Amino acid sequence: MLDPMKTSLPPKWSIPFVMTLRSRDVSGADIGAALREVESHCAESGEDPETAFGPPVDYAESLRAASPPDAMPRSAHPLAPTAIGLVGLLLTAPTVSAWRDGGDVQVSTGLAVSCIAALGVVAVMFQPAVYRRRNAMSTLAVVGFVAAFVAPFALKATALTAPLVVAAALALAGLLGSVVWNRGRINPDELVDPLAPERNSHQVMAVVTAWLFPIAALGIAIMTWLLPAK
Amino acid sequence: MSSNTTTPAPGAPWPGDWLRGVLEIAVLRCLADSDESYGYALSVALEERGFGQVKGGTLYPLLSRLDDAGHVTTQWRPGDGGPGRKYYTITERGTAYLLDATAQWCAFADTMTTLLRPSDGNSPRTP
Repeated sequence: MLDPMKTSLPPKWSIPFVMTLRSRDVSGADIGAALREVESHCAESGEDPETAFGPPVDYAESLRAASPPDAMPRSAHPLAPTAIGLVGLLLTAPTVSAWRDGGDVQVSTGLAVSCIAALGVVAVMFQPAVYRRRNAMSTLAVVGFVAAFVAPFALKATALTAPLVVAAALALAGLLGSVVWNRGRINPDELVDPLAPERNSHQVMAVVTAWLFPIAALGIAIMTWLLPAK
Repeated sequence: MSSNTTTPAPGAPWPGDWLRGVLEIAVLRCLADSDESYGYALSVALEERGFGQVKGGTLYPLLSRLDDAGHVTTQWRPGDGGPGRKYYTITERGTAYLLDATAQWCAFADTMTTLLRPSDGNSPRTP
């Protein structure tokens, strides 16, 4: 990863340059290359970046205009893998409980509300108008996640009942589907130094993130199995 | 009748509008004349050929457009004791584009010269 504070460029130029490109959806690889190119030119010409390239924000805008980033594919909402993973997670505890005790799977109203609240919070946080307002985001996160934690304890009535095989198949499909879907799209997009050898540290994080729902589901399944039957 | 026209001083900057129109083919010409080159060397080559100083803020977005258009390929290499360099090489597509643009530019320049110069002299026409 390339740290803009550790180039030979003055931070008062490099930081707004990087931030402007970041805010215009330019990839980390392209930002790293642009930063190194400015650094290289200034080192060879003896000029400072302001003289050679002008104000950082203006130069970043001109680069963005010269080479606009590819349009993001909109085939599915970015929350879709999270949604199906959450459904799998929601079904895990009642499915394991039904498997251990025998009988159909019963999903409580509280679990359904919890899942919807968590998804709602994340969906709203994805909106730029919200995540740029720190206070609004903090309030929303607190309210949403309190609702998600309290609902399963407050609303215990059964919301829906399903055969064990159907619920287990749905849970597995949701959990594994989220992994497959997420592995193709999670990209930390760090600033890449074009001169540094490639490293795979960010890929490890991406794999762990993709497997988050199955890992959480496994923990829930073990706890549910070990809990005493009602 | 005396002429009010002046000859531009050597090294005097050309009007920016003119440069913006022809800088692309000038850069491709410099790249076609060498196996490969990098940003700062291109700015020096352009200056030596009478273009005046081309700022990095003008040159690099242009190189980025040429890369996107497939007219050049790029490769990063570590520098000798200094920072790395991004080397540009003209492609076959870029060469074909350069030849086509050169022919068009020469025809346009001839048209302008005919328009602005008297038929029997080398000095610009006066009103």
